[in-house]
Amino acid sequence: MLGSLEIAFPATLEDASELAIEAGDDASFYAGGAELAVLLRYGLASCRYLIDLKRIEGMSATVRVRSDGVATVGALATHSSLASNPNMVEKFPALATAESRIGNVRIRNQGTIGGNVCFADPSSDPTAPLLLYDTELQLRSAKGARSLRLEDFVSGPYQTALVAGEILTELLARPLGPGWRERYLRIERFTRPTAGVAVACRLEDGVVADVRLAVASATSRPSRLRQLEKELHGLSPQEALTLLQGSREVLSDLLQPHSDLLGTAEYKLHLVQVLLRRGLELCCEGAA
Amino acid sequence: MSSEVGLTDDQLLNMTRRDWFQKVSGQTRYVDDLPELPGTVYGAAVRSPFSHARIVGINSGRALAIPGVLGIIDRDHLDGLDPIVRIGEYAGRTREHGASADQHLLAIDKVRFDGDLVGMIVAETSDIARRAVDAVEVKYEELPAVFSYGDAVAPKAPLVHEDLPSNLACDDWFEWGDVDKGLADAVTVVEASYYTPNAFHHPMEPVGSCVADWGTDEVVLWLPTNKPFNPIGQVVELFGVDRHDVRVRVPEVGGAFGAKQLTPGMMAALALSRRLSRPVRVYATELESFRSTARHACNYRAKAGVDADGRFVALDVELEVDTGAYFTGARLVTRNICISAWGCYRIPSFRVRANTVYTNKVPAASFRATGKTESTFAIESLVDRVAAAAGIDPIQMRLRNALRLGEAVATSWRVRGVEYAADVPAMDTDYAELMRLAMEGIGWRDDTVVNPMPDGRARGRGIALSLRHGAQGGGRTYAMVTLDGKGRAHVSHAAPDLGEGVSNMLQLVAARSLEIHPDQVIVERPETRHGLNFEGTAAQRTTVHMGNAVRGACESLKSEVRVAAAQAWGGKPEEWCVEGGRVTRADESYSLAEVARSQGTAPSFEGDVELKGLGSYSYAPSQEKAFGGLDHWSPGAVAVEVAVDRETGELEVLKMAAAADAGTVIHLPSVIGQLQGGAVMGMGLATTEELIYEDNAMINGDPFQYRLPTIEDVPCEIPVGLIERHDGPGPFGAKGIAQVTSPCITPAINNALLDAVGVQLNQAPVTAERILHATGVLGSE
Repeated sequence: MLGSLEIAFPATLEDASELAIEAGDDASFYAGGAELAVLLRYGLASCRYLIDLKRIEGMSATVRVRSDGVATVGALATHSSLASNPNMVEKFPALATAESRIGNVRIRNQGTIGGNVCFADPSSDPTAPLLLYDTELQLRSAKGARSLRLEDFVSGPYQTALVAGEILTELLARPLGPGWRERYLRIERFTRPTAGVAVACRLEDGVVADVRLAVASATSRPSRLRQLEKELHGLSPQEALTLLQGSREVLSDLLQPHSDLLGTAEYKLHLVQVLLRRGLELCCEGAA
Repeated sequence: MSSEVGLTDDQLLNMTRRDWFQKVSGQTRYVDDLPELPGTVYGAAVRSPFSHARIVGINSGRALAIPGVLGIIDRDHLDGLDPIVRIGEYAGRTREHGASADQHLLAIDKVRFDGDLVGMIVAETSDIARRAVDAVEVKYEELPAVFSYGDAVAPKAPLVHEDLPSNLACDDWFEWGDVDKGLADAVTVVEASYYTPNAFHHPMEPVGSCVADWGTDEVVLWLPTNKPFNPIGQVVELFGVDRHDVRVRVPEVGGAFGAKQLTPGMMAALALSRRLSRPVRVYATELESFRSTARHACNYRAKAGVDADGRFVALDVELEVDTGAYFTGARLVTRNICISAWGCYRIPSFRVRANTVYTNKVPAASFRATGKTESTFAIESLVDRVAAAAGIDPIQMRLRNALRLGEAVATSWRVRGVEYAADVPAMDTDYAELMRLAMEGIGWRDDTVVNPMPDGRARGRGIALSLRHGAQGGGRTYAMVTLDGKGRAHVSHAAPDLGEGVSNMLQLVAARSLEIHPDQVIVERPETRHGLNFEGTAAQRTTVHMGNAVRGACESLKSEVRVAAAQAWGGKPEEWCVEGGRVTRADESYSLAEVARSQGTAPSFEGDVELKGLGSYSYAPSQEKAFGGLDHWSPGAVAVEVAVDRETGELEVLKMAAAADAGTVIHLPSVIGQLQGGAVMGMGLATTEELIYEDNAMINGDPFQYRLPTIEDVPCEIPVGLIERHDGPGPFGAKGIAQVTSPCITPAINNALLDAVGVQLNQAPVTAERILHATGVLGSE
């Protein structure tokens, strides 16, 4: 059962930021509350004050694709709104897929992309595709603003680079562009992802001209597999798939998956390997 | 059907239940929704965070100093109560061990499971009580925890109960024929083991909420329980009050599955109410719920022998049962696993031996189809293994070996070494028909099935049968039906509705018995004040036992009506006829309301006059009590179709169908709901549910980490097939069907896995990772 909580409704981002600094660990920002409410309810997290971000000027749920193709996603955008946005489905299909599969319909309608990223739950769907797009995060606080790449933002399970009073306001995602194909694949256990893999690939003259591989959920933090990406460059799809087939040791070094209730490290590593191969297969299908 | 009923048989069969709209619109009041009694204060439990630890000291000074905190009950503040009093569903039946072996009011010297009750704070508000709980300083000295049967019987194992010589809680054995000779003569012998882990019932309403009111003239407990009379003896034993001064009232219950029993926390709340002379209310949390009761863990090791035709000649079973920290359900559950270990098969020689141990886990007790989840997973998986070894189709194997209609299980058996006649009913259903219904439900005979599927996954089908014991035990059941001056029938009883539709069933039984419109039947809230005994809504007995008691009460009421009619309008009672909801003699005809009103001196006050009938039911317990009074078998069958991704191990249940022998269906949507609900519950148990203990604690005891299937995870349709031969012992020929599907899903899925990829698992749940280990994709575990 949820104990009593005080909720603050600051009008400006500066107020919200200062409130959070003042309250320290006793306070938590919230937007949809989809992740936070569960943990509070079951005593896995505790705080006494919630700082509502939904009524703050400058916080938005707007999802736009600019003329340069970059998507600007307000941190308050819900998972459903991203999953059903025609621009996102067309230009950022891997993300739209991931968003359409998060949790259940209530969580998708309530939960926000900003909350998901800031919560840094290791079992996260959208972070893998967001890594494909070199996503950049706009962070603001009473003390100023900065931007940080998603890759540098999540530092571990439930750990981010956010400092006290800092708020994620917007995400900037760069589309992969013409010639690319992308996929998000996951293995779940009753809606919770055990492993999530985003793969994007561009073939030119029958070989892999460019490839991006990102993994979430199986590991303590979402990550791009740049070393493996390099090894795939210039290979034919068949060669690339064969390389992935034999990549267990490389993956093990790169990912260091953790054992938990969803499975052992060995199992998760296996899943990542299978999903990477399947993802690449799907991206190359018909193109070779 | 007469005009007084106003509904056709079909309309009665499919009637809209009164509770449905209330439930889906949030109007139903569960215990936490009951209005406040004046002066209510709030209890919050102090529980052990460790599975095994010595209590060095409890310092409640800081907690008691918090404004609004009214007190604590713990080992240092006991109000003279005996803390070692037995509490729980089976209290009073189990004292065969040391004083500490039964679950008791409070932990004294040590805690024996994660969640063991150390104390309870009482405060002016629930929030204050919870904050005070955090301020209670309990100093523990951690002890090595025992988490498995193997741990418990290991040499020099830590003792869960130091006043006992070992961790052995109880044993049991049961046999007929000559197993050793049978196995020696068998053409094929298969050895296998199947492990069922601890699981939690997970009712939607948490376990442990209550309102306890120690009043001046009666002690009242508002409990969401399935067994209202069960707590009374324990209240009497702990507090020394007269049993007639104790009253249990039951609001709507948000699911039970065996979990909704009296808990030590509820007794602590009552003790605090006694101390303060104020009502004490406890709001249970989900975390506490997980730490209140569980399903037993059990390893079933078997040797099965068949002849050249694949007919069983012998089955030898050894059970290693883990009952958790206290005795609780150890005796009953061990016996239940033993007497269902042979499944529903004709086995000339059978033997089962069981040892049950204590561990530092949540004490286990009743769980939907108590004991049969464990045995059914094992025997039904084993049948497919034996069939594979003997080169026989698993369907043929079952048709050849399942008991036939009218066939006896055995002529005699030895229970703990003593020979008894096997006086249980002969098989009362046709398994071939049940199998046909379940298989048709998933389109088993569809020849167009492609394997592997177009997406590359392996497809498999599996079936499992249950020999669920219908209406087991229960003593004598009473019900009373009161006819008022408006012609309405009020049913007084103590059978809680746990969500499955007990209230609706009783309404229909009374309406059909009295031949009146169901709207004229008012089923009252279950409670104990009227003294109408009932063992509880459990063991699939309610339709048979309480249904019969209500039917009997209606018949007795009709006699009263005839007497009253004769007094009012002349003639002898036997000349009056109660039929079609009317009371007639020759060409005289009166409504039931008119008969009731004829008894009043002031007919204008319709509510002043009443006629009553009392009804009862019981079934003679069998001679050796192995089955504790079994009046029918109540079997079922389940068929599933799965798709297995060989590379990732993912298993998807594509189709699932259930069949049961209902005798006579009283309310069709409720019967379908029970069978489908059981299948969905079974699917969770089959695929994810398992309580995990590590580092001296339960590590997944919350609904966030202990995953249940949701509406998105189960097949869209779960077809249900029913046999109705109107041959059950219940009203109108009904049988119990509540628990036939849930135990069958795990073995059916395991068998479908065998069909799909050629291996099955020796433990539940059937997870993707375990499938990969079993198929060799991942190294051996």
